Amino acid sequence: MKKISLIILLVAAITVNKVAAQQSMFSIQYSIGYTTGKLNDFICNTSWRGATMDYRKYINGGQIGVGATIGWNAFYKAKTNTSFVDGTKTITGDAYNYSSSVPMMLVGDYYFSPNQKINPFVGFGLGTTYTQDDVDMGLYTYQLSAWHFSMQPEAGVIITPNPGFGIMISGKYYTALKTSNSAAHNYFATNIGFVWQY
Amino acid sequence: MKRKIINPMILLFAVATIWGCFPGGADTIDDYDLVFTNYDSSYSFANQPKYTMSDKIVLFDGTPPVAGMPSDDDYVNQIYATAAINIIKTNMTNLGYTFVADTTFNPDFILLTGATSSTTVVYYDYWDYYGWYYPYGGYYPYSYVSSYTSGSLIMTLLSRKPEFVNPINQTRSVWTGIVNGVLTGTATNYTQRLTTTINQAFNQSPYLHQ
Repeated sequence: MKKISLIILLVAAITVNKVAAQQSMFSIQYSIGYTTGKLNDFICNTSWRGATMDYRKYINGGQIGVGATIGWNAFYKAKTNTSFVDGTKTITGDAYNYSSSVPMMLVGDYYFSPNQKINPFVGFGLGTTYTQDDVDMGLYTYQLSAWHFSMQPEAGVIITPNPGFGIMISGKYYTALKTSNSAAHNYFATNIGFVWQY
Repeated sequence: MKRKIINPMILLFAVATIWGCFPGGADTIDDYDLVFTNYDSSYSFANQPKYTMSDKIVLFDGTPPVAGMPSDDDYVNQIYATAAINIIKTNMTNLGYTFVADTTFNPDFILLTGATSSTTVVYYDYWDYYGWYYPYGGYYPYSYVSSYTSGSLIMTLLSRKPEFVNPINQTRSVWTGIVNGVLTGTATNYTQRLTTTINQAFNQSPYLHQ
C-alpha cells in the first residue's frame, strides 16, 4: 500500500502539477561524447569522460532562456603497432591518441512547456572551442592545440518533480570548425545531470 | 533536510565524473618501443644481393675509443649483440640478400650496427670502432647520433657503389633503421622484443627487396 501511494505521488508530481515560475536555471551534467568526422578518424572510441555546466536566464515568461555553457569532453584511443609515413620516413609503434575539447558558448533556448514539471526544449549555441590533441609514441609526444569557431544545436528536457530542483537530459552536437592548423572537432554528446531553478 | 540529500548527490556526481578523468596509456616497457626507418628514394636496391656486417654492435656511450683501438667495453654485450645480429641476418636473407664474411668478397652493401647507451648529443664516428674491420681504401662512414633515447639500435646500410663513396672518408647511407628501447627491459623478453621491432624495421622497408 505504501509503495502504491509513493508511485501515485511520484507520477502525479511529474505529470500534472505546474511549478512556480522561476527566473534562472543552473545545471551541471555528466557528458558522454561520440566523435564524428575527422575527430572520429583520430579517435573512434566513445568518451566516458566529460561534464558540462549551463546557466540560463528565463525571459518571456520562461518561454525563452538565454545564457552560457561550458563543457569538457576527453577522448582516448590506443592504436597498437601504428605506422606514420612522411616521405621516405616511417615510424611505427604503439600510439596513444588523446583529444580534449572545451566548448564555451552563448546559448539561446526555446522551452515548450515553461513552468511545467516536464519541460522539453531546443537550443542553439555559438562561441568557441579550445581543443588539444596529443599523440604519444614511445617517449615522444606530439601536441596540437587550437581555438575553433563553434556552434552547438541542442535538444533536451528538464524534469523538476520538486520546485527548484530536478534533472536535465539533453543531446548536443558540438561543431568546432577547422582552423588553419587543426581539423574540425565534431561530436555528439548526451548529457544527464542536475538542474537548479531559482 | 533537502540540502542534506542534495549535497551527497552532488558529491557522488562529482566523484563519478572525476573518476573517469584519467585515460590509459603505455603500461609496460614494450609499449614504448618505436621503429624508425628512412631511405634514399633515388637509390635502387635491386640486383645488389651481397652484404657484410660485423658480429659486434658498437656501443655509443659518449666516449669513443682511440681510433683503431676499441676494447670490449666499446661494444654491446655479445649475448645481446648475437641475438640482434641473427635477427637482422634472417631479415636480410628473407629480403633476398646473401651474407659474405668481409669486404674481400666484394659485398654490395655494408650494414653497420650501433646502440646508444645515453641520450647525450654526440658526434660519433664508426671509424673509431670499425676502421680496423673494413679496410677498404680508407673510405669509412660516420654516424651522427643526436636525440635517440638510451637503448636505441641503429642499423645503417651503406652502398659500396663508387659514386656513393667520397674521398673524405664518408659514404652515404642508403637506408637507416632505428629500433628504440632494445637495451631496456628484462632479459627474458629481450629477444622477443628485438625480434618484433627489428622485423618491423624490415617489414616497413619493402624497397629493400632484391
